[in-house]
Amino acid sequence: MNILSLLSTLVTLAFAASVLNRYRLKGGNHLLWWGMGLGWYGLGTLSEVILGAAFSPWVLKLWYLSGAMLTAAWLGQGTVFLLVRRKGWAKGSAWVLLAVSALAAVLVFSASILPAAAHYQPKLPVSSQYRAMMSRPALMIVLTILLNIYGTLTLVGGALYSAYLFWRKQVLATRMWGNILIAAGAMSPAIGGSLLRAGLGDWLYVSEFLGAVVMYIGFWLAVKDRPVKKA
Amino acid sequence: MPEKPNPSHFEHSWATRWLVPAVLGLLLAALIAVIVLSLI
Repeated sequence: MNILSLLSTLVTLAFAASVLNRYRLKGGNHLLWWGMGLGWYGLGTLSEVILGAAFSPWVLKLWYLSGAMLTAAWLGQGTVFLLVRRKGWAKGSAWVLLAVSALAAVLVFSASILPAAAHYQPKLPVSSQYRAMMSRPALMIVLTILLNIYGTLTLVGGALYSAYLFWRKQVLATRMWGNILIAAGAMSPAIGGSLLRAGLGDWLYVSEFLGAVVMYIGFWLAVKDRPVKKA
Repeated sequence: MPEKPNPSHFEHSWATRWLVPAVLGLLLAALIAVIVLSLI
């Protein structure tokens, strides 16, 4: 069993539950999208746990869709809802993201599994084996790149921008540090993805675990001075 | 009448004055690098 992916799954699902609980009490589309984005994150790492035990074509596709395509973009959409003042823009971009995500799901689940999948080794990371096992049409690759650029720019860029504003105005120090940690945590799997494309697939699991833990601490710091008022 | 102090205000320490901009700069550089690498 892949212990790192299991730990990432537990941390991410606890993080998602915490964010969605805050959404339940407080509302706010940003919390809803962050919670759903963390849900994709957890589904991705849970898929790694399952693929660490045995091969399943559906789980491989779920892993690719959730981890490689949707997580960053859905988390970033939460930041768009938080920071973009024109709510029409935030809602419009959310509808576009939903449509692109549906197209991504169709592409991934209609992709064919290649004969090399017969030689899949559960003890090796799926991130270092998936390219040989699953066909990826050009549109799927382009969408993967675009979704990740959108998600990384909005999530990391938004957290850096918020931290900079708090630093410049010298207010809310814990929220400033929280945003710095959110940016650093979000960069971790993004760097893991870059290493993956460079052929270093082994680092992805470590980067996912670090990313989940650091973002969770960052979120906790960012909201700890703003308790939810119960009705 | 004296101005009411802002309770969320903080004074810069060494860490917040120098470390924060350095960390923000590093993270921004990493962000740009990841975006550029994903395009090539």
